[in-house]
Amino acid sequence: MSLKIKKTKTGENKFIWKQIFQMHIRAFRIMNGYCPGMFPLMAVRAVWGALTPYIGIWLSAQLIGELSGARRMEEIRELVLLSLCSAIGIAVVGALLDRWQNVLSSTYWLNGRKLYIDKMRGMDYSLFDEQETKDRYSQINQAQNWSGWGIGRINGQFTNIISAVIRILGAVVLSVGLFTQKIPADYPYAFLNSPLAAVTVIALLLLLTFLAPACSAKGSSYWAQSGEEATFGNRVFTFFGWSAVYERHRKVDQRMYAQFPMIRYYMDQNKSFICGGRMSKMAKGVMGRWHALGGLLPQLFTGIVYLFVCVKAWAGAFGVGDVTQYIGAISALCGGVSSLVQTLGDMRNNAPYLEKCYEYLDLPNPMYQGSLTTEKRADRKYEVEFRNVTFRYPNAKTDSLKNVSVKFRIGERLAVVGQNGSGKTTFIKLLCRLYDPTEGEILLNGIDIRKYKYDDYMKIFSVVFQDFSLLSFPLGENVAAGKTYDAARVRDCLEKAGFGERLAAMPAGLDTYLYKDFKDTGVEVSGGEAQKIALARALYRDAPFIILDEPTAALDPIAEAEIYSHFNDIVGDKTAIYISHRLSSCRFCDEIMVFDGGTIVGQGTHEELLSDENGKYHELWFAQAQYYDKEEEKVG
Amino acid sequence: MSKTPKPKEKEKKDKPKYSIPSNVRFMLRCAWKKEKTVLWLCLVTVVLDIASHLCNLWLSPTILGKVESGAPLKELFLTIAVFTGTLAVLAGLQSYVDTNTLFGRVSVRTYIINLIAEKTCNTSYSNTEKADFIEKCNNANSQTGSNSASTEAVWNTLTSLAVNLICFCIYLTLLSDIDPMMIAVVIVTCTVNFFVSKHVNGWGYRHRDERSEIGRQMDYPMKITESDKFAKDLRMFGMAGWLEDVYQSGERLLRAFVVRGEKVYILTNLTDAVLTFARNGIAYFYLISLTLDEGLSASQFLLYFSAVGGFTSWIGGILSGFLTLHQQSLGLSVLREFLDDEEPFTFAGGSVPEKAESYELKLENVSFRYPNTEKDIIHHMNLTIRPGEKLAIVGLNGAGKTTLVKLLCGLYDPTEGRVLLNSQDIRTFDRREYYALFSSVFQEFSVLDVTLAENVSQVLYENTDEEKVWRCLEKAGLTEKVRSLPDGLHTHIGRYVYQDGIMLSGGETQRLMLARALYKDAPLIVLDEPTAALDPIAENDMYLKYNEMTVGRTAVYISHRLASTRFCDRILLLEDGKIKEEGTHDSLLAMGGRYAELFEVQSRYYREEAPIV
Repeated sequence: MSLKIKKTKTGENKFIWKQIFQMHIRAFRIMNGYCPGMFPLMAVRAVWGALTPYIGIWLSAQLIGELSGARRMEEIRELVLLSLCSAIGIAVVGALLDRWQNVLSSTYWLNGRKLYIDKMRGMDYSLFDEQETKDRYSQINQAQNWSGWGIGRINGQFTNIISAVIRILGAVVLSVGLFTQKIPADYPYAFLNSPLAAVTVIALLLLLTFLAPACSAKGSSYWAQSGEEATFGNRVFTFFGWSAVYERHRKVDQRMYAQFPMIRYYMDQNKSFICGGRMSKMAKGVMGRWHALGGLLPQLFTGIVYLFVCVKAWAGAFGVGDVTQYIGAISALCGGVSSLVQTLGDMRNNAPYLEKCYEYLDLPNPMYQGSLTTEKRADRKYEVEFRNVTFRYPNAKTDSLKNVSVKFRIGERLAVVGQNGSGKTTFIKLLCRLYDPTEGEILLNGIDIRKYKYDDYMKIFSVVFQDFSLLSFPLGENVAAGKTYDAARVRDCLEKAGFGERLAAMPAGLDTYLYKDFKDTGVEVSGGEAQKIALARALYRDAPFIILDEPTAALDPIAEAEIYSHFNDIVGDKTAIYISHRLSSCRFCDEIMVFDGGTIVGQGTHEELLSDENGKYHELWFAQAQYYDKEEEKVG
Repeated sequence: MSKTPKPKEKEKKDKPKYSIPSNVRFMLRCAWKKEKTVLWLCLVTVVLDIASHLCNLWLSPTILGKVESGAPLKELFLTIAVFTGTLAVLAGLQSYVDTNTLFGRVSVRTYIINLIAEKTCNTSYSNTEKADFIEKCNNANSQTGSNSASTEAVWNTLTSLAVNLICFCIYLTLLSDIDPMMIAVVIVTCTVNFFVSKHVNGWGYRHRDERSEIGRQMDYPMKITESDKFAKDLRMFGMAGWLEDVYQSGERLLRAFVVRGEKVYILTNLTDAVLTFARNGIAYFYLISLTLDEGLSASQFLLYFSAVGGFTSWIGGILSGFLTLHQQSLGLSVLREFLDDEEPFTFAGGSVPEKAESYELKLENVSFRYPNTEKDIIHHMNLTIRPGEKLAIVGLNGAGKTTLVKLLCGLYDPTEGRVLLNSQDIRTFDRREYYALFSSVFQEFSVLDVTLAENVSQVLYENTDEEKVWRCLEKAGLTEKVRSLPDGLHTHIGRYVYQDGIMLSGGETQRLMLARALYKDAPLIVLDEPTAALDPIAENDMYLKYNEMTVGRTAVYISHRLASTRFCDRILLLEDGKIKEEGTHDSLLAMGGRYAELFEVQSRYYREEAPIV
C-alpha cells in the first residue's frame, strides 16, 4: 500500500509555497463553513491581543521617563491613572472577545471530525467498504489525534499569523525612534547614529530572530523524522495498551489463556516515547543540542538589544524611559517575527497531511447515478433480473460471482443457500446496489438499474442483513428508521415479527430507548430480540422486495420455529429472498437457489434439488439432516 | 487554572483513602523504581527556573540603574554581558532539560499503565462484570490517559510548586525593605481572586453531566456513520438525515450550553480585572510616594514594581499549585484504590491442582446469582462430570448454560455450594493454575494483533513449538489457508497494528480458536456454541473435529442446535437454572419430554414427511 505519510523532514517536503497557501485557504474555507463567524471574530481577537500590550509598554516608558526626569506630580498622576484604566479596559474587552470566541468555536473540533462524516455519508457503500478508504481515514485520524496535523490546525495558524503581523507592525512603529533619535554629535559613540550602524544591528537581530526558531525547528524535525515510528508506536499502544486489555469480549480468553504476558511483551516493544528508545537517545544528543541553541539565541538577542539601546541612551540619544519602551518593542518584534517564521514552517509541515485529507475528501463515488424514477406501482409489479452478472471485489484475485443469470418472479419466495464464501451475500449486495456488477447487468422492469435514481431504487427493498444493527434511539424510531412514525403500524410490524409480548413488557412502550448509550433507563435487548426488531423494521418499510439474510441465527429453536410458521403472514404479497445456513428453513420457499463458488449450481424446489444425489444441495442437506434423522446412526 | 476535575472525585463525600503526602510518595517510589532520572531532572528544573527568574528580575533595573547613574561604559558593557551570558546559559540548559524530561515521565506513566492493565487482565473474572469495579477501573485509567493526566502532570505540579515557594521566600528576604502592608495587599487580592475563580470555574464541573450528555448526542451519529457495522443499514434504510438531525440538535444544545457557561466564566475576568486594578493602584501609589518622598531612583521603582508583579505570580502559583496537587492527589488515590482492590478469588496464595490421570468435576448444591439481582441463574444444582465423560448442555436462550460453564471453569464463584475438582474445592487453588487445566472455545474470544503462530500458541514466537502449531492447524482445517499466506505462520492477524495483517472470516476465526485450544492440550475441554457462524458442511466438519479432540478427555459442550450434541455421552437439558432432563440422546427422545419436543421442532423441516408450511 502506497499510503504511508510522506516524510515531513524539512527539505524533503515537495510542496511549493503557492500550493501550501492554496491548501490552507481550502482548509480555512471548509472550517469557516462549519463554524460561521468564528474566523472574523478570531481575527478581531488576535488584533486586539497583539496591539494592546503596546499601550502598556508605552505608558510605563512614559512613567519611568517622568520618574527619572522631571518628576512632575500632575503628569505622574495622569500616567498612573491612564495605566490603570487602560489595563482594566483592555482586560475586560479582551475577556468579552475571548468568551464570545469560545462560544463560536465550541463546535470547532467536533466539526473537524464531522466534515469527514459528511463525506462518508455521501459515499457509495462500495467505496466506503474498501480497505484503502478505511486506511486513509484512519491515517487522517491518527495524524489529527496524535499530533494535531490536518485541517483542524487552521484555527491556530490563522490566529498566529494575524497576531504576528500586527505585533510586528506595532513594534516597528514603537521602535522607529530608536534609530531616528540621534546621539548628540559632541558625544562619543556618535558613529552609532550612522545608517550603517543601524543596518548592522538590524541585520544581526534579524539573523538571530530567524536562527532561533530555525534551531528549535531543526530539533523538532527529529520528531517528524520519527513520525512513522511514532504512528506505529501509537497504534501498538492503542491496541495492546487499550483494546487488548479493556474490550469486553476478551475477558474470558485473557484468563483462560493467560494472555497478559504476551500483551505486556508487545506493549513493551513500543519505545517511541520512553527512555531507551531512539527518540530519547536523540534528545540527549543532537536533538537536545539544537533545542538548547534555540533556547539560548533569543537571550543573545536580548543582550544585543540592551547593548545598542543602552549605549545610545547612555550617550544621550534618549532618556531612561525610552529604554524600556525600545527594549519592550524590539523584544515584541522579535517575538512577532519568530512566531511568523514558526507558523509558516508549521504550514509547510502540515501540507503533506492536508494533501491526505483532501485526497480523502475528493475521492469520487464510483457508481453511476441515473435519473429515472422507479414509478410507484400500485400493483407492486417490480421485476428484477440478473443478466450474465460477474463481480469481483476491488483488489481481489478471483470473481466472487461468475456469470449469474436469474429472474425473480413477482411474489415468489426464493431461498438462497450455499456454503460460507459461495457468493450468497455478494449476490444480495449487488441486488441492493451496494455494489455494481463488474460485468453484465441487473435489470428492473427491463431497464438497467444504474439508470434509476439511487435512492428511488433503494426504496423497493427491505433488508435484514445478517450483521444488521439497531441504533440507541427509541424502539419506535428504530422500527421506522426515522424520527417520526405511525405508531399503530410500528406496533403491528413488531407483532408480526414476534416481538409483541416483549413490547408489552417495555417500560415506555415504543418510546423505550434501546441500549444505555443515551438513557440509563434504556433496555438491553438480547440478540434474538434485536433480530425481531430488525425484522419489524424491514416490514415497516413495506417495500415490494423483502430480503432476509440469516434472520434466525441468534434465535433458539422455539423462536425460530415461530418465525418459520408465520413466514407467509410476515411476507404477505412481497417478493421474498431468504438466505440461510439452516436448510430446514428453505422448505417453505417456492424455489431454492444453490450457490457454490460464485455460480448458481442448482435451482428448483426442495424435492427436485434433493433428488440429485450428486448435487451440492443434497450434500448440504444431509450434512445437517443426518443429526435429525432418528434412523441414522450417530456419527463419529 | 482549575481544569474540569475528573468526575466522581467530588461526588463521593467520603475522604480519599490516600493523603497527598502518601500519593506523592507513591509517585516518587514509582519513579525511583522505574526511572530515577525523572527525579534528578525535576531538581535541575527547579534550580534553573529559580535562577532565571532571579536573573530576569534584576536584569532591567540593574542595567537601567547603570544608564541612569551614568556609570562608566565599561561597567555597563560588563553588566549587560554578565546578565546576557548567564541568561543565555540558563535558557540553553532549560531547553535541553525540557527536551529530555518527557521520556522519563512517559516511562513512569507507562509503568503505571501496565500496572492497571495487569490488574485488569488478571483480576477475578466476576469483577469484570461489576459496575463499580469497572468504574474504578475507568477512573484509574483516566489518570494515565495523556501527558496532562495526573500520573505525568504531577511532576510539573511539584516542580512549579517548589519554584513558586522558593522564589517567594527568596523575594521576601531580598526585598525585606518593602512594606509588609504591600505584601499583605498582594496576598489578599491574590487569594480573593483565586477563590472566586475556583468557585466560578467549578461551573463546568457542576454541569459536567449535562455537558457529557450533549457530547454523547453529537458523538453518537458520527460513531455510527464511521462504523462498518452500520454502513449497509444506513444506506438501505436512508437513515442519514435522521442522524444529521440528531447531530444538529446536539450542536444547538452545545452552543446554548457554552453560552450559559461563558456568561458565568466572565465573572472571573471581571473580578480579576478589578483586583488587578486595586493591587496595581495601591502599588503605584505606594511606590511613587516612596520615589517622590524618599528619593527612590526610577530603576529601583522598576525593580519594586516588578517585584510586586513577581509576588502576585508566586502567590497565585502557590495557591493554584496546591489546588492542582490536591486534585491530582484525588486522582492518584482513585488509581491506588483500584490497584490495591482486594481480589475475591485466590491467586498467588492458592495451591496448585495436583496432576492427575483424569479429572472429575463436581457441582455440590451450587446456586449462582448476579450481585444485586433477585433471581438465581443456577439454582441448587448437583452434577458430577466423570473423568473422560463428554457432557452436552442444551437449553433455550437464557436457561443458564453459559453461566454453568463459567462456574465449572472457575470464572464465577458460586453464591452457594461448591465446585470440586477431584474432590477439592476449586476456591483453594491458585485460580490461574486452575485455568491452565482447560482448553476452551467460548462464543466471545480475544484474537490479538500478533502473528498467527502466536495466536495459536498464546506465547511468544521464540517459545512456540512450530511443529505443534502446524499439527494443530492441520487438525483445525486451516493448513491450506495458512500455506496460502505470504508470511505463513508469521502473518499478523488483524490490521490495526500491522497494516500488512490479514482479516480472517468468521469461520476461519473459529478454526483458529480450535487450533489454539488444541495447542493448549489441556485435560479439560469446554466448548460454548462454537459453530453458530458456520455453514452446514463446515459445521459438520467442526463437530467431527471436536469429537476427535475430546477423545480421552473430560469435555463440556454447549449448543442450542440439539443435533450437534449427539457425539456426547450424556446430555443435560437446562431450564430456568435447573437440570430439567438428563440422559443420552436416545433415552431423552424415548422419554418424550422437553428435549424430545425441542428436537421435534428443530428436526421437523428435515424430515421428508414433514408438512410444508
